Amino acid sequence: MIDTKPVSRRTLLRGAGVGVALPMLEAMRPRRAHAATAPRRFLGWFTSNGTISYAWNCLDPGADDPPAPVGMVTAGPAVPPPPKSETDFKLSRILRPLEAHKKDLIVLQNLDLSGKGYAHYESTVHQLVGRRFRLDATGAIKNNAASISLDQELARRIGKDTRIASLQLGVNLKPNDKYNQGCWSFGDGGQPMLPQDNVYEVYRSLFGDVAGGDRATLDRLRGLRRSVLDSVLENAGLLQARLGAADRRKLDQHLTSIREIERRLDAPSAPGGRCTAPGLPGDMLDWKKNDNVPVLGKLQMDMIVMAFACDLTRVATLMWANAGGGGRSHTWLPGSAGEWHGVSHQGDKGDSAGWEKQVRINAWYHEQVAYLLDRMQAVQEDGGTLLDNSVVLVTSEYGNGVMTDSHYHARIPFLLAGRAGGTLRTGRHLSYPKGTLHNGLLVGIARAMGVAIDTFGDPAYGTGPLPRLLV
Amino acid sequence: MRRHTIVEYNNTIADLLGIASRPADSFLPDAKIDGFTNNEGTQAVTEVQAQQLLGAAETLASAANLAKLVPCDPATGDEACARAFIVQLGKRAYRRSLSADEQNVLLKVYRAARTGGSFADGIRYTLQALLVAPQFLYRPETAADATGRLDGYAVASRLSYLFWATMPDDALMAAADAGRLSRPEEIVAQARRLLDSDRARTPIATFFQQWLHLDDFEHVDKDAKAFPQYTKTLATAMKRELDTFIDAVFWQEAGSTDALLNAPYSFRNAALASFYGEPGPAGTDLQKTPTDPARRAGLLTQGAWATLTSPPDMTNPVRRGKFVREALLCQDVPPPPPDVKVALPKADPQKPSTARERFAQHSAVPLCAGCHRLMDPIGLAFENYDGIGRWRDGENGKAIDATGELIATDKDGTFAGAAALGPRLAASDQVRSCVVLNWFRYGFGRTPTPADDCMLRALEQRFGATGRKARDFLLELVVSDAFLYVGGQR
Repeated sequence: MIDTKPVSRRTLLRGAGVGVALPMLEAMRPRRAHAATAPRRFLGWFTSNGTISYAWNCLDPGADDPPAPVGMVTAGPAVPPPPKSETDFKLSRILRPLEAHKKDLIVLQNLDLSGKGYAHYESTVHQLVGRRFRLDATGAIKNNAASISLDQELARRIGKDTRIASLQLGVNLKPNDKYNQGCWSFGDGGQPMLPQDNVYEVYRSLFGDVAGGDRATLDRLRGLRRSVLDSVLENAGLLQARLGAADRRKLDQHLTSIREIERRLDAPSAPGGRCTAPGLPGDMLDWKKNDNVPVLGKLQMDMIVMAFACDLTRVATLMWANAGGGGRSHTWLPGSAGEWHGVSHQGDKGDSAGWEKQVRINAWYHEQVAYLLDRMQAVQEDGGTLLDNSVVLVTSEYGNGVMTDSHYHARIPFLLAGRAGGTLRTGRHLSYPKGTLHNGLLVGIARAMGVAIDTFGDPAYGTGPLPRLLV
Repeated sequence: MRRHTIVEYNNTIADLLGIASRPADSFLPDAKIDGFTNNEGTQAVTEVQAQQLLGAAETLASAANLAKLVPCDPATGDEACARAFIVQLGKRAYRRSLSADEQNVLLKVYRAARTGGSFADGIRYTLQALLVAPQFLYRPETAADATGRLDGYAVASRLSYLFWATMPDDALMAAADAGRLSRPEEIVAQARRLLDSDRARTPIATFFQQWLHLDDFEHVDKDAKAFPQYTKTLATAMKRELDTFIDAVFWQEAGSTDALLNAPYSFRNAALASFYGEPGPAGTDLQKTPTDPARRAGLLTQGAWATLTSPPDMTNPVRRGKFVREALLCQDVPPPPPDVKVALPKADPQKPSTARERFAQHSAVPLCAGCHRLMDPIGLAFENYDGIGRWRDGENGKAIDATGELIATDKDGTFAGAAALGPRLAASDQVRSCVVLNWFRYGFGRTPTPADDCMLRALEQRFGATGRKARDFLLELVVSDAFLYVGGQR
């Protein structure tokens, strides 16, 4: 944790400076009257370049699994025995940093993305969308079936009452590459929702609106902001008449965003007693620098935890790297030398050193998961802790990766943490028949979040939630 | 209707308010389509982006120097002064005069803030409203008449954002005010003036960077074991060589396609000359240096290009061939089918081989051959350049056969090595069309539809008539129907 400073009511009420959204002004209103229990939250967590299933999961390799690379350890202490039962299982080496949270986890085995042989961006997009995505001839993400991602669907259903519908955060991404490999969330119709990896900008939009004045000043400020927003709508009205149909649609989307912001001026977001703004390093941190990934990641996790704790939003995604790693090297991590994507492919040469590096890298990311879960558990609220009221989905775009057979699409690492307000029974290892598609997991998460749907993504990939997932 | 990109927003704010803080650098990045960040199809404003635009407007309004912006003393200003401010700054911000209704929208914001606040409060909120107005953020194409011809103000904006990536300057606005931008000779004169200015250098360089994906160079990663010579210093020098070369091709050779692909010179310093093993200047400054045309001529034979198109520890003829197919011939190569291994064939130390031998499987397996015959035979012609662009005659002790072959083009046939590919490409009508297509994408900020075919054919004719010189072509482009009519058509 990087230096946390509590935000007092007084600080919050000092109000008028930057930022638009009046976050904390309304936050001072009495706690929402209509809900006796804390809301449920969803966080999606993405890391890149797949995993080593032998070291991620407690699995018994099957005939259709890729062969282990030459020289690779497939038994012994690193590879625990298959689970004895749903609740009697050991965490394998990559997941072991989560030992203290074992009771909060559901380890999911044998879930596939439909199809094989996707490029990195395709499987990454597929994960929360539940459909095959393809590029169109111009290289744009288009698809034979563009559609919304799970987090955005949840935001649409349960994000209405919070100041921010959803957060898309990232860590040192390269969102601008040819295939939008730095994007994991997609709005209606598949519109890319690029993550924000500038921690200062995230901070400003969440907690920055805290310079001062009294109640009357704040009311005036809100009124003036409303008049600026109104002027956008009026100006657009004057412009619309002169535009063609396509331009009008474009402007309409802009206006929808403006109306949404205007509506949220009155959002009854209500922090609990634990609502504190996370600290930022005093010296400006270079958020574009590879070597700063560990501290940037922690800051983004802190932002998410506090945005949840303050009920500024209930839906978030955190993209730890571009699909394919975006050129990252884990320079801070001993024994992981080399560019990540290259490291993950080293197994192609039957290189057990590459295997070991990939295990260490994966384990490091699960240490970060542990940090996040610790922080969520430290927030007490109605019905237990923030972690109890949340569901975190931890995943990567490939299964037993890139190690043995490039871009392997089966046995994707899917891990859940948190009880989503009691709708998920944790402390379990759930193994599914080989070839089970992951769409049922997306449906299950939606159900756990209180969103009653039967299918998500392409209905051809399955109906209903994964069996045994929900209480 | 295009919205300002991040770069255009920053430049426009600097020119409009004299604030050089580059506020849009913290916005979500512009999406790339075909390598270009200005495609209007990706510019719908999401809620997060709307928040960022509002936040930037607040910050800028409070930072603005009112004394320079309002036509009276801010300490004693009244509503008449506010009106004058709206008319004057509004015209610069909207790049045309405001209608009475548009003035009133802003005046309403002024009055709301003035009530219970100061004149300065009123002006700052008015400025906020100006900076989030769609009229400021977007560049609507407005017609002067029923034929769909753009009015002078729309032409002024088009010229200015094309060549300078910012709002029109006073001279352009004066030309629009005087109605002169309906005359082709005046438009060409203005375009020439803009192009002759140093302010055009960066936007023109941006075109080449994005078309040729040269900005990916900063993500290049090389294996230190395979290429110990590849240092940060070398990488920086190579990239400067490439940038300087492109700059020279555009500004000294009028953007000639032939020069881009075949010029028998480059820009080197002592370190680069020694890296290439060719004679060159002393010192660290880059200087124009003749090259051995049998080995090096044009963009595709430069170290930076060879480096950019290679994986960390070897060459990959597929990537090089794919680049030529996609960026220069504008042909799409489909991705590998599902269920194939896409791992590169590695050299086996026991059995020395050349890339041509290792990649032979691509032509042996019918499933692969269909697409790879479009790429590999082009890429293999570059095998004399290793993964960081050094010349080599052999690989693993075996002689390199750099014979290449073009198929499915208008210049089909075999050729001996990369230096022989350049002239073929420069003479190809498909390359000619491809260059024009990319200027279309960049210049108009959109992906052409079938309805644009006719216009593209006409532009290709014009490009051909200039001897395929981009700089001269741009002066033709600005008086084409594509440039002067709403939607590009009469």
